[in-house]
Amino acid sequence: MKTTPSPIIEKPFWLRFEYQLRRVGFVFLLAIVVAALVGIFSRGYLSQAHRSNDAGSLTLDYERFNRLTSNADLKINSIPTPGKPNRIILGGDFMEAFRIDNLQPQPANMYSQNGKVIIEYNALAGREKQTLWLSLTPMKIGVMKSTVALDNGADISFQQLVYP
Amino acid sequence: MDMVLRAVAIYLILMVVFKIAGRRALLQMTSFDLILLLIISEATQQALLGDDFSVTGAMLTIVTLIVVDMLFGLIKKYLPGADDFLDNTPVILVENGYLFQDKMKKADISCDDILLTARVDHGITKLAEIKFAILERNGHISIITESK
Repeated sequence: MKTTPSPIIEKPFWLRFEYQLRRVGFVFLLAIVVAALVGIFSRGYLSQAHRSNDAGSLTLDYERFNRLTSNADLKINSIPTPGKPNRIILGGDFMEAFRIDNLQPQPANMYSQNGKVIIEYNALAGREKQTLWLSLTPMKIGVMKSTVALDNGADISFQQLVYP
Repeated sequence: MDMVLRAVAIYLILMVVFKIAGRRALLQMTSFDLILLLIISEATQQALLGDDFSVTGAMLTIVTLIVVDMLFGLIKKYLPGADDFLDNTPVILVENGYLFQDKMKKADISCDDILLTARVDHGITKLAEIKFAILERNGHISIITESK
């Protein structure tokens, strides 16, 4: 091979850097994809969470990880005392952190009190399970600590991380 | 405030991802590369603007992106090595028909990529006719022929 004056100044250090960065970066990007598949960034196996109170009268299905302004669902199953209105109380950071877009079925009454939202359904004759589906939009970034309680019963507290 | 932060975050994320993807991602060797870039722009649009459809919102995003780009321009200009770090450095891949395999491996460029550019830009089909093939900072391959 005959040599001719080089038209550019080459910097082998930066070529090596580019090569190493691509190798390490690929592993990093792959890790992000795998993390997303298992639910680290919401909606996946690791994101789904289930909590219930000791008596089993209140259960909660929620997403541990949520993304700002992206849809988040919350399912609350409750077994109210027969003959008494079913009051589901959501407190903690809930009111500040989430916007309620939709809730099904529509409650008989819904109001807020001392930073808590109270969703009230008419009394049922028997000891039957009622399910409430909430469609939410996370409005704050960070760790949100919310509580859900049935009437004046003990709280179930749950944490959700909201990504930017 | 969030419009500015969104724009800065997206700019930085794209910069890191394309830095990792390497120059090959910008080479647009196949027609799918163009489609990929279009999909990426579509995916970032929502994150950039959110649900803000105002002219002021669009103006803030555009101004922020340009300002960040100008800031990086200043960093590249005044900070030694920043230019090489952010924009890579040109690499000679072929000299007088001889392939530098090690450099090609590091730059993730194949012999076919070089020959494709040579055919498209210069109508050259043989490696021996290439005096220099240089992988530029922007990911494009410059072909300098023997006659030049």
